[in-house]
Amino acid sequence: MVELTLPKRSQIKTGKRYKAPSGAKNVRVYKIYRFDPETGENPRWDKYEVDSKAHGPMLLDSLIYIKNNVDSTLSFRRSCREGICGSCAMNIGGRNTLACTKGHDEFSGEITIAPLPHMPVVKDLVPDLSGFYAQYASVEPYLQSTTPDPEKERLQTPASRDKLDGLYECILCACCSTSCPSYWWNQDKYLGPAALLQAYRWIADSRDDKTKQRLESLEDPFKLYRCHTIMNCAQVCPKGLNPAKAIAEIKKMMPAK
Amino acid sequence: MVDSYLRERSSKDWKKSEKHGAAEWLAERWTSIALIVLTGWALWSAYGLMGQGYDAALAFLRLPLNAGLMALTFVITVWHTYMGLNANVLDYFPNSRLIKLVSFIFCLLLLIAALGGLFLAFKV
Repeated sequence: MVELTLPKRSQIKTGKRYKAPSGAKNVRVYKIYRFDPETGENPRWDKYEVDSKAHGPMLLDSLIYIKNNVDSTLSFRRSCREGICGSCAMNIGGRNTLACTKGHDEFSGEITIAPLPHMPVVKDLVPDLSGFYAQYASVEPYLQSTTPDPEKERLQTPASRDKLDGLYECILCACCSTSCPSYWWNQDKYLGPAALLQAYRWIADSRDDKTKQRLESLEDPFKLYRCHTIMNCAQVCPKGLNPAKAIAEIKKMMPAK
Repeated sequence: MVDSYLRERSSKDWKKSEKHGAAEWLAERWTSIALIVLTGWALWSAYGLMGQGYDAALAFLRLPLNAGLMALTFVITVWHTYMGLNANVLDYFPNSRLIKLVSFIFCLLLLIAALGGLFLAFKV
């Protein structure tokens, strides 16, 4: 539900500034959100001056450089560093994206880095995604067939397989869900673009026999119909997917189920 | 094992379906389409009646087809407005029964005023 006042100790203060070593050239300034709920202190913006020639081209390289060389207390998630695991999803320059696929030269001036918006923060750039994963689990993202298991794999026609393109590539980074205003207001009831894209991925699968049950479980004013086609999800998806289109397909299938 | 874990999480942690929403979604679409046609008709009729005075407007409304279409325009406009208002209430105040009631009463009053106005015009 909409809240018109900020929770206690949520106002972001100005933090420390870490100067670049003297003689450093090509200095970039990173303004990074810092918060540790265990200290009881307000969040703050720390600024780090970093020589961009001292590390690789991506923003994840910058963050790793800062953690290794400037401030080891900085927390963030990362794993594959090639845009396939979704761990390093964060809000960079006001837009949700993956730090590992975003180059620091794509920004001019100071680069602002914050955790994914409207999610509880575990520490610094690490959001609590438990609710997000529970939503994903609730759509039962696995094949459910009423036919006995075949000797080999379950076959599909090329046309049926094509229907899964643009759906199976989702890496569950949560960039889309956390950019959606409907998800911000009602993430306790609305499934959000990522979970709904995954729901449609199984609805559209010709090998799955639970289409009717899947649609019935989604028919709800909050779980599905809080999507107002705002399209932020499609704009920010680092894999170029379109969750809004998948949601529209579910809505179109719903009356005919 | 993975399946049982996922089922356990989904049944325990997540909202069950209220089993409605599709009819409302369809109603939003159909009333939008109807309003495009009806508003076009209302505007075209108003343009045709321009400068002809009150009596001509009354004569226009006394034709059963015109009165019916006008009443339909009012009813669908208010229905569509109510659905739009309700969507906003669900977005921003999903747990407030009071605001839902206020929005319903507001639309009911709007409908009574619109149909009352049409009825009075028809009676004159």
